[in-house]
Amino acid sequence: MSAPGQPPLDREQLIQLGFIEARGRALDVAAFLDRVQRATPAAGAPADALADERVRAICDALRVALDGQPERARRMLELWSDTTTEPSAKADGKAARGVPRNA
Amino acid sequence: MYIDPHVHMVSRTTDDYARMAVAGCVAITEPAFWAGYDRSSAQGFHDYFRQLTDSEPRRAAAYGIRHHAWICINPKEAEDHGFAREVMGLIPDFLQRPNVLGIGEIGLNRNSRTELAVFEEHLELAAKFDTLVLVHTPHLEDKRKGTRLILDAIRNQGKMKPGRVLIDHVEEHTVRSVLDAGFWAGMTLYPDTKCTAARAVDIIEMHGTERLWINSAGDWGHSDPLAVPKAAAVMRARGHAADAVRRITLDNPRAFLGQSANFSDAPLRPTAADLGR
Repeated sequence: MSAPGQPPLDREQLIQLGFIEARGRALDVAAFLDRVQRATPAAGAPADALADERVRAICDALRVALDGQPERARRMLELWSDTTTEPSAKADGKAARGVPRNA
Repeated sequence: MYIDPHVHMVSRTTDDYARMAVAGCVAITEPAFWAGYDRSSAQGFHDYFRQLTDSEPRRAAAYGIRHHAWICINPKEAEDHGFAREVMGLIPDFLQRPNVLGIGEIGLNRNSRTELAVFEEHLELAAKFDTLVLVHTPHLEDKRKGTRLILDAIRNQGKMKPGRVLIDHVEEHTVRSVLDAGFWAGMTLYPDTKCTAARAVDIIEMHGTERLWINSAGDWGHSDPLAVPKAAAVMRARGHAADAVRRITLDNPRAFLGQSANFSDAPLRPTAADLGR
């Protein structure tokens, strides 16, 4: 039985199992950022792709991924969370957008 | 054998029932949810609740799958308080149906005051009729705040035993607070917006198997009704023992849902009526 938090497989086995998928996902993120940067800004929008708070939120999260500290997934989700505590006066549409406004 | 404790089969084809049966599904539970559009009248909900308690169980039984339902007005249609109360007035009758386990999936969507008030009124109904509760937590950036508001509301009401409440759609940043408060926690296996199978297995490794289950929440959106057996395969590939896989996919759902006398995962032989078209 593994200790709490310790996977049953060893590090090499986990890398063998997940590396190709993780490599593909990392490339997808890089390609998304390239694509957004290549695109023409919408009328009236800033030229800098990082002006968009959603794109900036991904870049901020990548810093979390690289900081060497544990629980990166939890900390990324917290970075992308609304930090207010009171219920809103009215529902702002039906769908969440992935990061808070003015993140 | 497995149980999918959260799947919206009204949005799925009969072929999906066939595939789930082949994969070993013996029972499902289907919470009332948003159909992708707002219903224009309480009568629309009445018809939907009939579908959940009458036609859908027969459709499932044709494949040997026991179907159970949860009844409520979902938070996405709860912003009109008067309308929500009209729909909530239908719930007591449907709680008497033989496949209904309780109130769900109630909760919050955008964390508004009206959503919260409607959630609290559903909790009162659950307490009054002593039912189990299945709680939806919000999506994406709203999840952390919404989960906190939900846990506070249940605590403040003080009438629900945590062991009779399942808080669904937990992720890495909400699972600990749910389990620490004594509630059950559900992980929903979605390709993009909730947990992937790999992350769900990470959460199991980090937080254990107690009071935790996985579900597909298969519906009309990007989802997979076979997500539970596929996640079980990932668990096995990650070196987890057969008893741990069985606990997450069968024993835990059975333990929570079995608190309702209406739940069963006993072998089911379809009747002629179930097989009729």
